Amino acid sequence: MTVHRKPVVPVASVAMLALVSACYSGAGGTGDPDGGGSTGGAGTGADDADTGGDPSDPDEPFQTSIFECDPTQVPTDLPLRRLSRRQYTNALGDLVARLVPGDAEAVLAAAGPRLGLIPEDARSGPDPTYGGFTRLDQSIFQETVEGSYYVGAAIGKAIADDPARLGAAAGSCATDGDAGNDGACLDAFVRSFAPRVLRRPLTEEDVAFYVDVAGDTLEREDYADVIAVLLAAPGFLYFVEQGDLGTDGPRTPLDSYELASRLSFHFWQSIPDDALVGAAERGDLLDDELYAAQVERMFRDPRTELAVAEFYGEWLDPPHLAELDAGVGMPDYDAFLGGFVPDGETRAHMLDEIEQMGAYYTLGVDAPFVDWFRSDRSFARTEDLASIYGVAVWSDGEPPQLPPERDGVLTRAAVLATGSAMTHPVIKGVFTRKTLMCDPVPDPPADAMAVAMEIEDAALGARARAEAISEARADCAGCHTGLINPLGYVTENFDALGRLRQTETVFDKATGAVIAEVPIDTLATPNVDGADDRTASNAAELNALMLESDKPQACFARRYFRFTFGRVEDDTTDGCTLAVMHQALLDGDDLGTVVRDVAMRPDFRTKTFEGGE
Amino acid sequence: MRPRSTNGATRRMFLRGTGGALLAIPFLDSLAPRGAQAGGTPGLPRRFAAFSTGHGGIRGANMFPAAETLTGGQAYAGHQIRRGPLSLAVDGGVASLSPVLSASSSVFTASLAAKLNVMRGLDAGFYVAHTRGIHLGNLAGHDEALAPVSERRPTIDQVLAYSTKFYPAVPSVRSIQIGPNYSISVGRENPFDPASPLQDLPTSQRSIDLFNQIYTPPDPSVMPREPVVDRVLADYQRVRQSARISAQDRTRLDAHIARLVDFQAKLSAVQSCGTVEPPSAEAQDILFQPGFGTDPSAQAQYWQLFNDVVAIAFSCDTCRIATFASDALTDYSGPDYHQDVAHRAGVDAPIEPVGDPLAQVFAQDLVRQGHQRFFESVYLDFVAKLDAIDDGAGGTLLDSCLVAWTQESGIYTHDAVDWGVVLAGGAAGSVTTGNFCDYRNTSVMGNQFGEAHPGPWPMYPDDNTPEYSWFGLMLPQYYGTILQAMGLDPEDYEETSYGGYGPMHVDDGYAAHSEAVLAAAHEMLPFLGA
Repeated sequence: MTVHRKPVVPVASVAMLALVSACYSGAGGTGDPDGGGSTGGAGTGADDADTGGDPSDPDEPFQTSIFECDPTQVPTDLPLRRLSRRQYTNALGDLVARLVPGDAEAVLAAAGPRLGLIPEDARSGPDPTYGGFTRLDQSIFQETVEGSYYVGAAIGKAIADDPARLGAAAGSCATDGDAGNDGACLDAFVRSFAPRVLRRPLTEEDVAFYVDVAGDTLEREDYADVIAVLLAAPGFLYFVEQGDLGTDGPRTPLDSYELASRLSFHFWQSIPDDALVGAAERGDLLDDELYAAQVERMFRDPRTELAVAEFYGEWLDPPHLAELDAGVGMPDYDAFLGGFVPDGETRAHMLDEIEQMGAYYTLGVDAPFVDWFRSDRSFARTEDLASIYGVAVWSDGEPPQLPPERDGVLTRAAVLATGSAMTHPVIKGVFTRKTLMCDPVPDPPADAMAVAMEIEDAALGARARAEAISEARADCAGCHTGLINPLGYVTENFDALGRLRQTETVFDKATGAVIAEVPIDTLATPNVDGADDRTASNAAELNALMLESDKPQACFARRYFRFTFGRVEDDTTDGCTLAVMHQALLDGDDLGTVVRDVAMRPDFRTKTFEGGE
Repeated sequence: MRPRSTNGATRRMFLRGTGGALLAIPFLDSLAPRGAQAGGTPGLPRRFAAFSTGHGGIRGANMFPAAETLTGGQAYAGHQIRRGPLSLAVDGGVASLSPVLSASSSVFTASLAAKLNVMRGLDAGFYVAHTRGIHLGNLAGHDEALAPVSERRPTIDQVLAYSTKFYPAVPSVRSIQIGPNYSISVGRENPFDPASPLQDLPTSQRSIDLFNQIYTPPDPSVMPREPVVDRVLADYQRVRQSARISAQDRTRLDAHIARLVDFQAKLSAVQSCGTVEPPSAEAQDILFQPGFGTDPSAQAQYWQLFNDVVAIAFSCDTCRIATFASDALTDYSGPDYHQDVAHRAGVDAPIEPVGDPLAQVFAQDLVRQGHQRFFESVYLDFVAKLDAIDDGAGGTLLDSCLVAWTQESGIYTHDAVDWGVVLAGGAAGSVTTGNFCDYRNTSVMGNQFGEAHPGPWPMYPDDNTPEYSWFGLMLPQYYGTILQAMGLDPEDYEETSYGGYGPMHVDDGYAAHSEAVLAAAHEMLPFLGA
């Protein structure tokens, strides 16, 4: 078959060259292989965003300033994706609650020690610190395999050993001492429980297989064995998707139950509820309108908040945010704190705000991307963080208004705080470039960190120190001046705790005495797209430049794609979903709508059989 | 449970751990003694433990015994290599091989020192910067992407873990990985499929949970009955044979199935433990204490609790492999040890020149102190515990072990040239001990920082003996040495004509390593062969 592709101007490639050039003026080097899976760099502004095609027509190619949708491309799926540990734990909880509604906590507690031996998922991806998600961790460890078995065995034992629990789980026939009904009792139990575990209807072969676990003579502990086998089953631990067996093609539609499972674990991180199972049984999920109705119902369900919070929390996790109480007792840090008393939870409160903020604009209100990105509201739920912002603690309702200088994600305490007395403009710059714009940042020269740079003048402020250290060597200066540092300088009107400041106070490390009051200089040339000499002197101006580049919107699309599909995006084969998301964000669609509608995409509802069957 | 009677017991019969773990060590009657040799008794099962510390950059004069002790030598791989006996100096209750390799003389005895080897002069063939892979043979697996992904390999502990020569029967636990932040061990998703993807192995976070895992299940009645595991396995086979599943899906299923098969096999593994009283303290609780990061004694206690558990696992033969991802034990309270200390380890200046209590402290001194603490409180603690366990063959458990300690860097931070190893134990007669081995070729300078930072670098302003780094032998040879000492043959792991474990990657700046040096990687490192 000949594929006719619409000729597309490689906007992103041109911009990428500009970006690399800006970084490497006067220095050699290679680009970061990841940078968020990006092959694109800057756009050319909002006016160029829609360069043709109709995103609503699945057969028509179109492009945004960064992504190109070629409908002839076929996305490839992750092979046999497994439940994340969080999904697994939630699913266990929901299943046990179905079996023993009044006693689930105690049953789960019995499995607690075994559950603790199953490794936590690690944020994974080409650059786990920037753009890594736990959902991408697809490792299969011995501890995972053994642990899931032992957890199932412990749950089964905790139920089977207690007649009341077993009665609740399998009915009175399981405990009435009547051997005559034992076979039917177990058969009924399997037919009732197994479909919820495996998330699909059983065949008679399935029923026979699981009933046979008990052997010829049925005893109470046989229920434990059946539960153990089910909770270690591939249909429970993995997304075993065979698709609609009656269809063929590069991507095969999922069947109704597989769709229910994808939806449920995506939005709720757990098994389908009764309504979704009912929809699957009726075939509703194969009907576009009824499927959309279920997507909308699930998205609006409070259970979605946990997944959305996980997305924002992992995407925006600032790697530089240290524990804020670790430096207490150091003279300069104590002096810097100036009465603010951080504790072991302060850092977590800052990170919580990032999650709350994302959840609010995605689920709480109908708001476009820009409202989140440039939010001027506080989501501080605790006094420590609220006091940094100088606002009241947010409980319910309208979040408190922040001072005008605090514009968006860039000005959140989680992004600004360092755990020391001095800000880190270089690290802020890297965070802004990599986390918020998904731009690659090339590796430093191999020996860049091998020799400490001496700062003789202890009275230098953070910006001057950053310039002295990172811009002194020619082979470092290219990236630092052209790509990284200016993005951090713009928010130097906030101190290392995230408080607004008029001047920068430099403290003596040994005594905490004030060495200098340094004027704040936030004027910088952030060079968002690699060929831009416009300046910014505050977060609002920098945010405007970034939004104009379309990069933050594209970055959101990339990261939410990873979170949804559990794999790194491919700009070519996944271009359509990325472009559709990007365009919707550029068009000002509600953030929640954009997030919700990923589940409407064809690649969410179909599967490839890579490598043959 | 209480320990068995102590009537007639020697000190070797009991291992009393930091957190209250108490193990009455059996004489391991099942292990056939065949006459002791220097370095251990042949025929006994071998164990391997690897301790690692980050950063490195320890000056050679701090890390290694004095050059004057190198009294012997030989020509090897085209240059002269040197060797001397490890000679312990005792002064004021402190026994020392070097400033770092020193400890209380009550623990660091001459007999224990005689069971060590200290080696220097091992090199990576390229600039490694930050690396977790260097310790165990995954040289390309580091943070800076300075080697192609295709060169990444399972670490040698995992090669051993799935070798039928090392484990003739499936053990209860193939390997233990410990590290609060990361693992130095890398294995495959399907360890029996050489094409399977690599994955960083998870670490045990809680010492008591690890104890429960390696010693006995918390509740024996929960132990799976074999037929039920059969059914789980059969369930996976059913799906695998399903009419509609992709080849890649099937490969993933195979990985799970392989691990189920391994699980099934290990259910019949036999432990040979004596009576054990579980530890009363949890390492993770110590880790979470405020101030842990600047409290070397707490850091020591954390690792010692894990040492106890691994020593029990080794003595029970529940597991024969353990890796530890640690750091120097430091009280440095600055914001960033790596930037502030490790990066300045070779700098001819105090840490902070102005207005700081550390004004006269040199980073190298902090590096030395931190690593000396690690040696004494963590590494030697473990080694001494193994040496306190009778092997029933006239020696101690240490004699059938290899316990390695390696660092991220050589004598200069980030550069793995003149990389050092401290190795304890005789690997059941496979390795001779008591050697200080210097493999450097002192006619080929190994400074790798190029024109921007020409060497040599002075270390202290009052030190008139600046330290050069010299090229020596290659790291794949070291990895191969460990594998051979643990009972594998070169054909079990070699993949290039040069030999050794893993690819022989030599960048231009390291090309002064001769062909003879590269070709020597097939052999065990000199002076160590029994």
